[in-house]
Amino acid sequence: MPQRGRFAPDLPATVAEVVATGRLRRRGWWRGPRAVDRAAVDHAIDAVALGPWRDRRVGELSGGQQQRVMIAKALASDPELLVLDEPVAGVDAESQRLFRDSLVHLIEAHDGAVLLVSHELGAVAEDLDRVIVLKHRVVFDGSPQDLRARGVSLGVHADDLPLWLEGLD
Amino acid sequence: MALPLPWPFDREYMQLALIGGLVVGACAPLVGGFLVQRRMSLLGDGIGHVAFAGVAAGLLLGVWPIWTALVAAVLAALGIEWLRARGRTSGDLALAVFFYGGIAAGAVIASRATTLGRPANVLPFLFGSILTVTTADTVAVAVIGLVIVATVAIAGRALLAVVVDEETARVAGLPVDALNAALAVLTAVTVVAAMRVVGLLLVAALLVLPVATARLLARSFRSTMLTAVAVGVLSVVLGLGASRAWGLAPGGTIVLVTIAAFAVTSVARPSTAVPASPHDH
Repeated sequence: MPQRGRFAPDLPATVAEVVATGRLRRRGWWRGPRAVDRAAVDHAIDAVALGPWRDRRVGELSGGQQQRVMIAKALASDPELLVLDEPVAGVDAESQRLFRDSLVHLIEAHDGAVLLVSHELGAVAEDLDRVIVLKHRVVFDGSPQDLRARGVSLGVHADDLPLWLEGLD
Repeated sequence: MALPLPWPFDREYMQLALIGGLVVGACAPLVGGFLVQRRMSLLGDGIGHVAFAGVAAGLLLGVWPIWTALVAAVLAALGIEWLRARGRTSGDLALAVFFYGGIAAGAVIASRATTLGRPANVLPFLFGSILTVTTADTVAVAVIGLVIVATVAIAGRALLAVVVDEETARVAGLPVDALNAALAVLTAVTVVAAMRVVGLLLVAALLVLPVATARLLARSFRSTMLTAVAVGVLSVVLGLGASRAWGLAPGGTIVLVTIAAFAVTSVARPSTAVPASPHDH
């Protein structure tokens, strides 16, 4: 999923239609949707809490909502691995929380893996299995607990990961 | 033999025109819907110009111009798409090369035909001549129409995926290059089908204008396409009827009707079509 995915504001397609395009990979692009495909699309939309916006044009949604449409589109394909590049950049706190919930849902209910590249890890600080910190090279690779044992926190309120990185050469 | 239809479609020539017109009125917006969203509204126009060279070649060689136009249009479509996909030439510049190349080649070939004693009357192809279409023309248009509907029915969802996000579609393993080429070829085929109805110079109008109107009215992609088809079909019926009633050029009249539909819809569009966006926080 790309950074700051935004849809063309005049794209005449609904949330449900855009999410359904994520399903093509699973069933073969030339096939029409079956009941299982429709169910997967509905489930993905609910998982990112966009149910009430299902039949809205994607261009009418806020930035955070559009971001969640992209996630729902990825979820609809039942990915084994979801790669996300700065997915919550410029997104409000409530959208970050809903985003976190949808990722946890993918991992716990669908047995998926998530590789998240981000400077803002506050929203998911409690949910990470493994943290790799890069600055020209790998400066840390381990559990969030080990990182905390070094006195470095990922939380938004004690946001000292950037400070720590600044201190490194 | 004429079917028992009411005026203005009581004559056989009007009925052949109506069949061809309905096929094109329904099919052109199906292809145009994807072109508009890809900001390629003028692709049909560019291909139309090259098809003109194909028509002139057909007249020169004494071959049915629909065949030569089809060959020229498909080659032009693939050429434009190839230049665009390679990314070294911008889309509009690639289009310009084919635009003027087509018209220039058409002019040269047509004058050559005249020199050789085969007067090449290209006007019916440039501005349409729906009232002179033969049964063979109508059958060709109907077959092309079936191909377009079948292709959009099968590949439409994948084409929407490419329109929404080409990069992600590629990552997901969709045959993006083949789909883009298919869309270009569909456009070429549509141009040739519409050639006898509105003429090569007005083809892009039928591809694009009903879609522009539908985008003002519909919310989903599906309803946009269906509305565009309805607008296209209605424009053809009204345009043909008006041309019979007042003795107007049918191709131009049909296109003016699509423009009127767009203008009226723009002014009188129901405010419910653009609701204020709710926010979830």
